[in-house]
Amino acid sequence: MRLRSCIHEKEIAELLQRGHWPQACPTELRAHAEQCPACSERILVTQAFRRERASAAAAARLESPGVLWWRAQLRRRNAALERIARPMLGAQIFTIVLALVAAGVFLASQARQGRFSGLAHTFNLAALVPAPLQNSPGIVLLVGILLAAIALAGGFVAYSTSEKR
Amino acid sequence: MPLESAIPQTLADDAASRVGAPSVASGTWDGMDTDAFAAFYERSARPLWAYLARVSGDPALAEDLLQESYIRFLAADAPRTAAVDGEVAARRYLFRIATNLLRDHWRRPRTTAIDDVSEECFAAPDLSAQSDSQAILGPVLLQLRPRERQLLWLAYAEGYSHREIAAITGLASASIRLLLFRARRKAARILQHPTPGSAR
Repeated sequence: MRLRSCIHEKEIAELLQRGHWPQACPTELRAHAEQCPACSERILVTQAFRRERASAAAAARLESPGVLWWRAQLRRRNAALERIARPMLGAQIFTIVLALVAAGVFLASQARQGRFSGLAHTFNLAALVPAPLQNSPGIVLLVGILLAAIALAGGFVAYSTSEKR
Repeated sequence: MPLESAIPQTLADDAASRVGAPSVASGTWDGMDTDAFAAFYERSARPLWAYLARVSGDPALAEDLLQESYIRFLAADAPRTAAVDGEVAARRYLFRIATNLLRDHWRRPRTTAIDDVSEECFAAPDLSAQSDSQAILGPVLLQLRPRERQLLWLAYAEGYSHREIAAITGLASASIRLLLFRARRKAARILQHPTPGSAR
């Protein structure tokens, strides 16, 4: 497709933009526009779109600016809170992981010293815990599973009560 | 919808660098207070609504996108930019946000549950307010592609230059001239011979 442009197009565009077409423009320019396909196309389309713009703008149903201002403030505040909460969430996860590792190390060290050997007997767990798990490493394994279950349940409760859900 | 997709990059970067929330009590925001915003809104909302309504062909969608555009405009620290660059630049940002929102809307898969449709949609529509405008350009716009409607509206209804249109739509500045030329020729042909199916 070949782009046909006219030297008068810019001038006519400015006149149309200012609303000076056709009353406040030279007669020669009007005569030219009648002959020039590019200029007459521009005039036709511009006038149709500007009429449509005026008509549509008059029909607009607008929300109160105060409501939009308030909603924007709310969104901005929430975004700021989210930005602040992000490192806090990271710190919480780090703390939990650290506590779990420390608990694991502590339990392992206690088990190695044989301190849990009589635990099943002390708490009368013989009936509940299978015989192979009644030794020291078995108790450690059970405590570990219990801690993991608590951590999972805690995570689920935290998720189900969070605002994001 | 991600915020970054609708906010001009400079504004999004600017917003990301700031953590502080606006002062609610004072009602001021980076140099624009509630009164200044109300005045700016009064001047700019109707043209923006007209753009959204005529390009999308859906007045209800235009209302939603208009509100979202202003909220994102405010939430992205645009008032501060507006204070520096002036109202013309602020309007351009608004049109750019609205254009991005329109594009996101068109990209989204169209699935609407019956429960999500408001009661107003089932009532008989009041066409009295729309009849005039639809009689002027409605059939022509229907025969144009969304991109063509967008370009023609920005160029001939809003009077934006090719460079400004490129900034608003995200298209290359060099391609605007050709796209606009084709769209204008098509629109002129439909306007001159207003019969259905004459667009091609």
